[in-house]
Amino acid sequence: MGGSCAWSMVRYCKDTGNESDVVWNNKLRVGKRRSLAGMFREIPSVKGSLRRKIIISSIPTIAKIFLLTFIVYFDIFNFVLKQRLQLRITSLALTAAVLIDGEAHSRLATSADEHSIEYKEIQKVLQDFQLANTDIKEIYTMRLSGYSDEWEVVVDAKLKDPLHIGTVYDAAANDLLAQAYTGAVADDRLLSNLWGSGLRGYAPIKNSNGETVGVVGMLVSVEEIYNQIRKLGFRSVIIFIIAIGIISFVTSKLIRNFTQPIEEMTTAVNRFKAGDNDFRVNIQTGDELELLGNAFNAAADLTVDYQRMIERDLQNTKLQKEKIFNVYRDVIRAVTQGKFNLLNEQEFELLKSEGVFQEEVKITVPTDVNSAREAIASYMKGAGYSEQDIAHTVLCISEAATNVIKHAGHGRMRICALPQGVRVCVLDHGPGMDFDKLPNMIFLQGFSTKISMGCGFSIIYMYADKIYLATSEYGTQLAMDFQITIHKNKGFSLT
Amino acid sequence: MGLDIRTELQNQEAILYFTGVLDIATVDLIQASVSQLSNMRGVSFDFAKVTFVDSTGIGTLSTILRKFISEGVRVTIKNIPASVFEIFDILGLPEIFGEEVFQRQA
Repeated sequence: MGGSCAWSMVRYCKDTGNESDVVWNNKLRVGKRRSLAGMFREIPSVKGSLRRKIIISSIPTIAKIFLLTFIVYFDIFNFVLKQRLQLRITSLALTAAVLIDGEAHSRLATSADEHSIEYKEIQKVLQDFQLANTDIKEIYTMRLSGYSDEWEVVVDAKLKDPLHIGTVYDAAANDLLAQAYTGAVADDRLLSNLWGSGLRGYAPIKNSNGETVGVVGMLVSVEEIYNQIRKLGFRSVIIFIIAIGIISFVTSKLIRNFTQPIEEMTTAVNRFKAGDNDFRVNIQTGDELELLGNAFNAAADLTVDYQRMIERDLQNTKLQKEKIFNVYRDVIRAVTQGKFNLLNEQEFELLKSEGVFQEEVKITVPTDVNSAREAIASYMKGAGYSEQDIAHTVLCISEAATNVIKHAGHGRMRICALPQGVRVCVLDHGPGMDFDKLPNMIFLQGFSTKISMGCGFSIIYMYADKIYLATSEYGTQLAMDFQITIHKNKGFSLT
Repeated sequence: MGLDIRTELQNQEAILYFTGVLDIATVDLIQASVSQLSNMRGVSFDFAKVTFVDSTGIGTLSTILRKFISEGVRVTIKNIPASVFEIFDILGLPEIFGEEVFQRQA
């Protein structure tokens, strides 16, 4: 596991035996599974659903926090801006008021005084003030007319069609005007009227005795500022959207760093489940995930060790079984002087191919046993066997066919002619015989024991000239050779 | 070929005449025929027309013989053909149940 590869938070390391093969991040490769079986399998990939869930749940939260912060900041900005505007307007009004001669203002009584020096001077002051502060749209002076709460214009700075002295101003909707007699005031809300939109400001004009003789009023244009605020707001929204995009990207990257080890672990588990026992992870996060990765690797190593141990044991068991089989084969052959032969499957296949095929009988139901008997009896009668030989052979075939019904359920019988006799093969796909019980089945004396062990074999052993048996968990194959009596008498052997 | 069994009853003595083969396909019939017998003092099986017996047939026969003997019923198998008797002999039935139980065909 491992090898020379550059550091990454997570990497795949696959030990192929000769070299280390590194796969980066999520680029899973499908290739040959390096197992003892060497099979090729597709490896299931991780879809990253945990990462998606975290991203989907965290980005809206971050966006909400960001938006809330933005709104709060914007509100605070607006509030401060408004306060500054109000301060500026009141300052402007106060400054303008200070510049106006209160005594001179008091002497302006009727429209006839509009040609007076006092009027011109005050008007010039207002005009100069307006020129110096270009955001002042309107600037004028007013005073209480003396009739109830009625106000009248005194000096209007407008050059063209100025309001005349005594023009009545409807102050019903203007709460500020009354307050202006005591101190400078300014609107806190944007005003739109005949004169435009902006914020109003007022400051008292005092005479030399400190008495308020009028107010200077002005309409300060704040459209530019509000336009800029609107532009600022629009730009802020754009910035917010871009920021959200950047935050989403960065967040997903950060989350990926967190979820990637988990994804790698999930992939590792899936690969192990699919049979890729050589796969290991290398998680170097310095936290519980690293511990988990190391634990997975340790468990995988242990599993592989156990698997190899089991495979070795199975191999040993197979070898031992083969040894035991060979011992049984040799002993039985020796004791029976070559009459009874245990064969393996390959050897039996060769045996089956010997001779000339005559007939095959299926054995599927009990009455098929009689069919098998009749078939061999008919063949042997035609081949010139003696009645006794036929009787003995028929008995053997009856025993063999009965065993098929009893132990395998179904099978078949094949008759092949040999040069000096006949070979009858009885084949099935049953559970097989315990060949270690064969000695008892063949040689054990005692009827009751034979019945319990299956005395058919002892009968077959008694009458057949040669017996070949191959048995496994896939089925039993029995071949019985019967010499024709004339050849027996002349000492011919089937082998 | 199957098996046919004809039963004759007289004064608590039964004679069962077998015709055919005793093998895996016919042992159930044997059991069924014998199970109908009750309160017998003697049971005789006539094998004159039996053409074939294998170890499965003999195993069933053996079970039936043991049952009758344990119940005190006198049982015999008579007129056994030579080929069939050979099998009885190989498997040792006369030794187990007594020579007198098995009577060869004349």
